Amino acid sequence: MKKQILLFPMLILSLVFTGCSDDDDPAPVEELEVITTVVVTLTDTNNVEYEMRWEDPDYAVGNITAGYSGVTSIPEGFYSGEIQLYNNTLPIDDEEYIVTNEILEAGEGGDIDHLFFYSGLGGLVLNSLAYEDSDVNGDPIGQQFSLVGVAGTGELSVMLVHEPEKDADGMPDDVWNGVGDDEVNLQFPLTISTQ
Amino acid sequence: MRTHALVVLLLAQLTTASQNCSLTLSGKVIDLHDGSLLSGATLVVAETETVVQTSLDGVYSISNLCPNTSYSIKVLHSSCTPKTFSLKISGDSVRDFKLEHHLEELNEIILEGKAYENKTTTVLEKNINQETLEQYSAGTLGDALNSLSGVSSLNKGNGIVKPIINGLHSSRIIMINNGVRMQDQEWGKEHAPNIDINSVGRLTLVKSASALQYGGDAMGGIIIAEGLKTAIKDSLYGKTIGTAASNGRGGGVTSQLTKSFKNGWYSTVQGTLKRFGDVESADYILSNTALMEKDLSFRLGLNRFDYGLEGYYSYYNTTIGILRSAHAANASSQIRAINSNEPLIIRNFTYDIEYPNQDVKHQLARIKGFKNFESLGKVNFQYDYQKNKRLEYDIRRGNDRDTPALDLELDTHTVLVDVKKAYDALELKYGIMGRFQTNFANPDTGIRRLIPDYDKYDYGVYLIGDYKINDKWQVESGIRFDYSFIDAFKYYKNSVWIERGYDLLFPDIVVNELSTQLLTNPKLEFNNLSATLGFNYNISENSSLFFNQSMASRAPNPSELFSDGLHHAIARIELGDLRFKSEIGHKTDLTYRFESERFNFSVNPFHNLIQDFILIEPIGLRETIRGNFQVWEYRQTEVQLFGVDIDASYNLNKALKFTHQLSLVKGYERGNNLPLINMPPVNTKNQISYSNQKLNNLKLSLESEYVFAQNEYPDNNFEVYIPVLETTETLDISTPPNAYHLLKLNGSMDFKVSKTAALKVGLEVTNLLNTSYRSYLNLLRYYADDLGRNFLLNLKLNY
Repeated sequence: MKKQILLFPMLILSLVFTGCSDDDDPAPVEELEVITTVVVTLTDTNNVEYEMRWEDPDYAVGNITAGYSGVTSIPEGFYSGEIQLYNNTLPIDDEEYIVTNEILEAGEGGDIDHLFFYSGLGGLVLNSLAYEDSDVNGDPIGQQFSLVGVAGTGELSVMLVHEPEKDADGMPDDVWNGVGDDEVNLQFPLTISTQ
Repeated sequence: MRTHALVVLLLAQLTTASQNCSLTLSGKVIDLHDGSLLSGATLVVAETETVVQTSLDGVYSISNLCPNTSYSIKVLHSSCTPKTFSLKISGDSVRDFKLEHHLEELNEIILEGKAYENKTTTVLEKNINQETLEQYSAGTLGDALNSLSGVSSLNKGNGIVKPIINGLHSSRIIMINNGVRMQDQEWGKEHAPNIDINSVGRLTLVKSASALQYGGDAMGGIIIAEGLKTAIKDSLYGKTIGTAASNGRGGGVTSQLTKSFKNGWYSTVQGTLKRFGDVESADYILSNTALMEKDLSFRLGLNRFDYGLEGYYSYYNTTIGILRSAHAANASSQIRAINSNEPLIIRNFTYDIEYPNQDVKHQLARIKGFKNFESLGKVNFQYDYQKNKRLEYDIRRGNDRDTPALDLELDTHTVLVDVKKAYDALELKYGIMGRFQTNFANPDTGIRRLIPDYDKYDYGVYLIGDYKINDKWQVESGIRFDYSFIDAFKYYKNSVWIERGYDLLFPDIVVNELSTQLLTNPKLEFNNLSATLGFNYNISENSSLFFNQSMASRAPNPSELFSDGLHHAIARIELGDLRFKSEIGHKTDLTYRFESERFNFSVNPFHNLIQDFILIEPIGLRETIRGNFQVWEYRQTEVQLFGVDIDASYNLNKALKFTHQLSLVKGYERGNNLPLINMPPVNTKNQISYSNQKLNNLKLSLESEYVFAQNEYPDNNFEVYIPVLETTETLDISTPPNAYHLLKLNGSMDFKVSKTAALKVGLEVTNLLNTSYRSYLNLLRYYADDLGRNFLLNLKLNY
């Protein structure tokens, strides 16, 4: 009697377990919203380009292999700037390879719910920082910008904020008021030297 | 009819067969207040262990009694205080027993046909009855459990409430729902139990691992939710409870309907709907805290004297908004949010649930049966299937906006066979368990899997003996063995794999190498032994002592083993470890209880020593493209927890009653004596209540809850350099909030609507003084105050 009672569930279990075994390897996740590479290009009045990069090649969310590279020194003067974001985990011909395109996509009412912020940190002084682009409502974006560099050593701070309060007092000329989420928050080491 | 109302243990006859023991005692069990007859009362003859039940008209009969022998007969009824009567008979006798019928006064129908069983005999269990559960109808199971001493809750806002028992929570406690061990991703701090409080007829708390029949890994304790019992008679009855709350401007409706037949068939259908908008603290709206819950359960069964069968299905679905301003992108935005006195985002009130939010569906299907065999005892068989689907939405951009950040499906099949057999003074319980579980993490989220795909196999076997030495002493002992096997498929980023040193430790488990990551196949085995030993000693008629020593073993959960990246919901990087061993806990639990008509008192000191306790602690900051993130790493160490729970009540007179509760728990890491994180602060509840049965069963109570500040906590603060501000600031995630004091007012009255229907009207005000406070155990305490004043109107209709 007892044996039969114990055997019954074992039988069911064995059926359940054999029925569920499939040994397909799970597919890797195609990560979305990934930014592996940030490239800031400053172009002086003679059309000389200075490129600063930040890269996290396997996007391990951390600085295990990530880091800054490119130019760390530029001469004093006026620059027009541009920032590009890439997702290197995708093939180069993938439409989402250039992340900036998605950032610049307008939402309802023509709003672009992203804003770049630039500033000089430490001994780095940037004069006349200006946004050179805006959405259809006249709100700034900051993918294109301009600045005047004054001699000094410090860091160029670059932030990309999702869902900022573009209408808030002092925005966006002042530093970010804290609303929204940072998607980029980098500090490029930079020295500006007298010519 | 008679046959199943009369339960006579055969054993009783064997022991008494030598004398001329053929006398019969019969009579009625009567309600002391109104003289009504109590059906379904249980009478236990202590000397012979004979158990009988009263029939529908309250009549009982006990046979095979011996002449001129003293018997003590304990009479129990689900709605009454148990009472013991002593008597001697010389011939066939008639005797009526009177019980004080104190619960559910106006209920025309007694819902519970027989008393619920004890889960363990050497730990004092605590119960929450249906009346109390109904007060929490629009709340959560965690809120109701919070009313017991020794239980607190780990909250994420007001909708996610996880019970903590004597300082332990999540994987360290077991939740049993209708006999089924919940498999609802309970490891997560922000994963609340997926049980509709309105489907529960009774809640039992066992603050130790001693109830080994449910599992051997309950380091903290076991919570058992049971369905309503159905009487064996021809009947159709139901109840509806509606609750309206001012805070959140919403409420809930729950209904259940039961049809039973005297041939033993019964069925119950029950459903709940809850809808709340944004709740408010004392001073502002907590934006995006709306919630919605939809539950349904169905039960169909046959209950006969010597066999029974029951099918049960439940569906639980909840969508809970997570406070918008609690969404922090990185360490510097966390500092901003924490340093701000008010939440950074306060919007207008709305019922909409925006992102971030959780959407959880839990389905449970269970079939069980029992049969009584003369030789073997009572044999229970159960198969259950659970499907848990958890979606967590985060703030995302562009086309991914509506894609969940986490999409997990956990399927679990369990088969149980339990046997219970009573000999003279010994009761034996033994059984086996087999479980298969598979987790599927949907890769379409576009975010790396937090919990990997895995298959898990568990097998368990246990034996528990309960021996009654004499009237005063009872001992209980048990042992259980569990084997677990996890077969997982987990991707590691190349850089993480090397940084963790896994390339040297586990080169054999790599099954596929991709450009930036590796697919590995960890196969982990755990052998867990657990045991319990305890006694129960009746010092006198009024006082008794319970002692229990239990050993629990818990295999590490998937998040402790496999975490290796950013946990979006709390914006930190978490690192698990594949090398973890099982935790082993040794809990000593002692309870002294004194009970008299006027004064009740219990004191319950405990000590819990846990080896290889898995804790998570911060180890530094990591620079990412989004700024600095905290890095938290799991590690194993030896810890001890100890404390005391005290309950006391005093009846000043028939109408006035004082109740007092105090819970204290301390937890430290041994060796360095550092306090453990998230230990409940000392808290005390004091209540004065007034009741008057003549005045429509009027009940009034005022409860004061004082929660001290937690003065012992680990310092997990960070110094964070904020580039934009060019300053270094402290990220204070450690300092607990101040002490607080809350008042709760509750009143209710009963009205007879018709011959068969009764209405109970209740009004409750929580946080009566609209105090601004933050609780150490609320994960949102950094960002916003806790709930402000709330008026709740509760209408219950029994029909």
